Amino acid sequence: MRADKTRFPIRCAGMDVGSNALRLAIAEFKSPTRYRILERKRVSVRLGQSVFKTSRIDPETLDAAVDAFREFRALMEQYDVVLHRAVATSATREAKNRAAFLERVHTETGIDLELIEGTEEARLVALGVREKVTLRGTAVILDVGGGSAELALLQKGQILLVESHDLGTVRLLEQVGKATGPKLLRILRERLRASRFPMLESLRGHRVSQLVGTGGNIEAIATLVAGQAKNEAAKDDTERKPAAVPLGRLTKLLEALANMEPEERAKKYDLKPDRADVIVPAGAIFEHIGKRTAVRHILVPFVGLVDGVLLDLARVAGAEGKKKVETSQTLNAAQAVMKKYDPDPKHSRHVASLALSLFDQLKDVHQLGKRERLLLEIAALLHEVGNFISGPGHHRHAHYIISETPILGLNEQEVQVVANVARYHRKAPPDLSHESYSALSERARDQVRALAAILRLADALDHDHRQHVLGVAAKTKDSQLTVKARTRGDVTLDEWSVGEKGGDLFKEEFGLKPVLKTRA
Amino acid sequence: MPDTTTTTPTVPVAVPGAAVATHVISVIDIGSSGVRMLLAELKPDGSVRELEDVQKPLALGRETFRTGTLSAASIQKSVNMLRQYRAIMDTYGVTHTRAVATSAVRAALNRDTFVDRVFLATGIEVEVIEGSQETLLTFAAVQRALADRPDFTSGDSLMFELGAGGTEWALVRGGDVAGSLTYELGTLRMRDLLRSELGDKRAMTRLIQHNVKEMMNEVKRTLPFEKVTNLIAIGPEARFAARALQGEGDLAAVSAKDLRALADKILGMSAAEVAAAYSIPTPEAESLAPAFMVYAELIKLNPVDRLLVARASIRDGLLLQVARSIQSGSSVFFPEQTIAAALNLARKYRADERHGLHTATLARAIFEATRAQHGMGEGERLLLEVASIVHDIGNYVAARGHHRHAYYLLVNSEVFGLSKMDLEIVANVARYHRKGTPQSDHPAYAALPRAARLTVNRLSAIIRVADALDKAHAQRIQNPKITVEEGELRIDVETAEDIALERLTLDQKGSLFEEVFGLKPVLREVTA
Repeated sequence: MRADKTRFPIRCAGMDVGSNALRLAIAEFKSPTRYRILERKRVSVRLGQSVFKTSRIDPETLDAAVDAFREFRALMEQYDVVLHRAVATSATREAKNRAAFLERVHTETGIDLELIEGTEEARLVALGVREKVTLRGTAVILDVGGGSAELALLQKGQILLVESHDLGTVRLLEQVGKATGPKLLRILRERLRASRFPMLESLRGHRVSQLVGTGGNIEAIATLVAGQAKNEAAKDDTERKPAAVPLGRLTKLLEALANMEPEERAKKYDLKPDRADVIVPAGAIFEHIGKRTAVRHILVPFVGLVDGVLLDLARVAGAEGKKKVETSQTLNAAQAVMKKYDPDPKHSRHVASLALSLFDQLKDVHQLGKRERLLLEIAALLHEVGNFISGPGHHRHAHYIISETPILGLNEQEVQVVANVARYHRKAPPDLSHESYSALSERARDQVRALAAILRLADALDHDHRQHVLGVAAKTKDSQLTVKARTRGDVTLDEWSVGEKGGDLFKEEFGLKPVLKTRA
Repeated sequence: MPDTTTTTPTVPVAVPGAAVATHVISVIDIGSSGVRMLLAELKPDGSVRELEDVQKPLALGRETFRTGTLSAASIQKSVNMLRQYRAIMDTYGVTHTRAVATSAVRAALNRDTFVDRVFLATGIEVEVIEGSQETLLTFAAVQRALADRPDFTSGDSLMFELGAGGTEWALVRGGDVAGSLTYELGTLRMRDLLRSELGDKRAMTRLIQHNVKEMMNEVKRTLPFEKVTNLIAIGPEARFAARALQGEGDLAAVSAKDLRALADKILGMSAAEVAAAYSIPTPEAESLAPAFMVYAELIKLNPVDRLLVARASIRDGLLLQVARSIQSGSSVFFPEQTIAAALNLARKYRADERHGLHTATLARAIFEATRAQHGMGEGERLLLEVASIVHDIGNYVAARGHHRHAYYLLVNSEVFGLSKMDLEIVANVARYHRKGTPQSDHPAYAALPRAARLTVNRLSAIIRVADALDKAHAQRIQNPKITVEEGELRIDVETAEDIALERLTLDQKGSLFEEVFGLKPVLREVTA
């Protein structure tokens, strides 16, 4: 359904399969960022409840979810929606029968449901929030769902870090079992106090100027705090103005809610039954993060994951200009990972610049594009991270670390390409007997080989780790690649390395034997 | 079949107070350039007297480091040699034997064949030990040799052994090992590098400098030291240098300048000439010059002006270990060093140290209270303590799936004194401290031998209970009274604090314990 060239205005639909409900939002975009919501729909389907208990979506719940998608599909047709994207989060991700679920949604409604990681979820939420409210200084966005809680750290509106936690409301309720009343709240608070939030720990003294809360629970809380406006809460809150929830009020409300049984809460505060139970664990999470970030109130913008999905969709459809912004965010994220594992990244940075220089000069040879260039840069920045675990096998450790550390803005396949390129920066070249390599698509394998060949050569040029090769000029003639290097100091070792090991894969992949010529 | 009654591969448990007889001990070390045996007697007063030191050259390393296997001829040579050793042992009436093989046999793909042939032919059971165990043994000997030096027992010392296949490092802080590391750079690799650059001394020197610098960087990354007061070398090359430059003695100090001069001198001779001039085996002669160049480079890279050389060898450590186990009846050697190394690892990955230690304390208490149920010994208890200390390190990679990350980090780390198999067990126990329980379709678990899998089950069951008891990371369960009664593991605590979270977590995580031991863990508050 995605078109190459898009004319605005355009109608888009975003869908989100959470652990508590399925949501749809349909909007008209005047430009990639300006939009008007035409329709919002929320269908309560508690995927989380069965998944977190039995690891499966039970048949009735599955039927209900497919029915909801049929309804969404009908609405999309009614509004002449051109583009759509549907994402599923933790509950679906953890269901053992998720493949069957995706398959049924696809065959019965034609909608491709995409599984996304918690960190991608955080990125999308941040996109939505950013368009609705102006973020100043250091801001933290907390999105609490049924299966997980996502944190995003932003600096002047730019996303720096995202982090996903298992702290979903439905999951927490499963964990606390039958506890009720003040005891329930005490256990929740204890449980949260024992959890680690590396992002918050990394702040060390940096003041958080804003804490933004998203998700149905904090929206309900904001409504209750704003004056028990029962009717308004029940109404479909399309395009509501952002609200602020003072932390003290949150705590008071939370304690009051905890003292009641869910039925009582629903009655007194006019809450939906599927909101009345999870609102307490959700409130406790907001309270905890609020205290940890020492803010006075939580800003509630009344936007969520679906809004981010919509914006992302419009961006992909329209603007190329935003690409650059996204790329620099992705590089930021990669550098944060590099610094965590590589306290002295001079070598990695230098190799990255040499690799990019070779990449740019050899366009005719490799015929790869901008996206591959970005993947090469990230792989070069991260090729040494495995040393943190141990020197022997550090290329394999780099593969492990990169695979397990989601990098903002890279999709799963790209993460795998980066992890493999870093893995092949030394020792054995790519081979189909290597599981993580053979699991890649053919295209991804081609990318890995080409990028690894360039990285190996760049790494050989700084084998000494002393940055003595300052810059390179690459020329191809017949079956030889002449690399003229500007140098300072002794480059004996680098010369040896290019001849010995830097050129092997390059020759195999491009049919060119690299020869180093130096001038000081 | 040879008579095996006098060869006791594992040390018998001594009855305390009954050790009146003199024990005759033999320890054998099958290294990469020779097979050495030390015979000694342990007197009733605990003193050890050396009887004989036997050494014969055998270049196993040259073969396995290049081809990956031991040839039939080499195995036959080893068997013949060990038959002779066996005859010597019999003349002394040896009562306790321990035979170990190090890097050369360790690197051979057919090492099981080797071990089996030796056993069938001589009755000597050879244990192939890991680099970290090697260091542990040698360290024990060095520690004894240096125990009266104040700079050794107060500051940070780096001790290393440059072997043929790799270099073993240990950081000694205040006389205790605070961490260890095996680095894949040994004299054989150096020699090959040198050969490929034959004739160009400048490139060769740069290559060695670069490799040594990389090794030192890795040492600095892995071992948390401030300022090195002593750099201590062990191993045959170091002992050779000490002899050549200083004569005999238990401890020698050599300078970088002297080492370089000695290297130059040796580089000007052929290996055969060196062997003849210093009456040493040829394989050993080949590794001298590269070793000395490495030593000199290490002196330069550290704030020391000399290299200390301790004469102690792995055999002295083995002897000490056998003697100690005869006296105490314990098979665990130097547990405090292993615990220190585990703590060091936990710090590296910024795990909550107090939680780790408290989990270890609780786990040990449960272990002791259920000895009748699990029948495990001190070796397993040590693994349980180590796993407790490090179980949360995976959080460093990512909080999600941190139990899996802990597994990966652990199997790729070293903990002083633990073998690869020990580490596998620890890694599996850390992996099972939360989420899914051991299952035969988990490859890393399924790949373990049955005995190790059972150990993993039991220790995981215990660690889950211990971890649950400190769920809040607040160390609220102090000095619990743990008893086994009526199908329950009763954990009684006197506390004024609220322990609802711990109780709740125990309900959720205690099921494995119930499955494995048939005891339901119950947390009870008792009044004083």
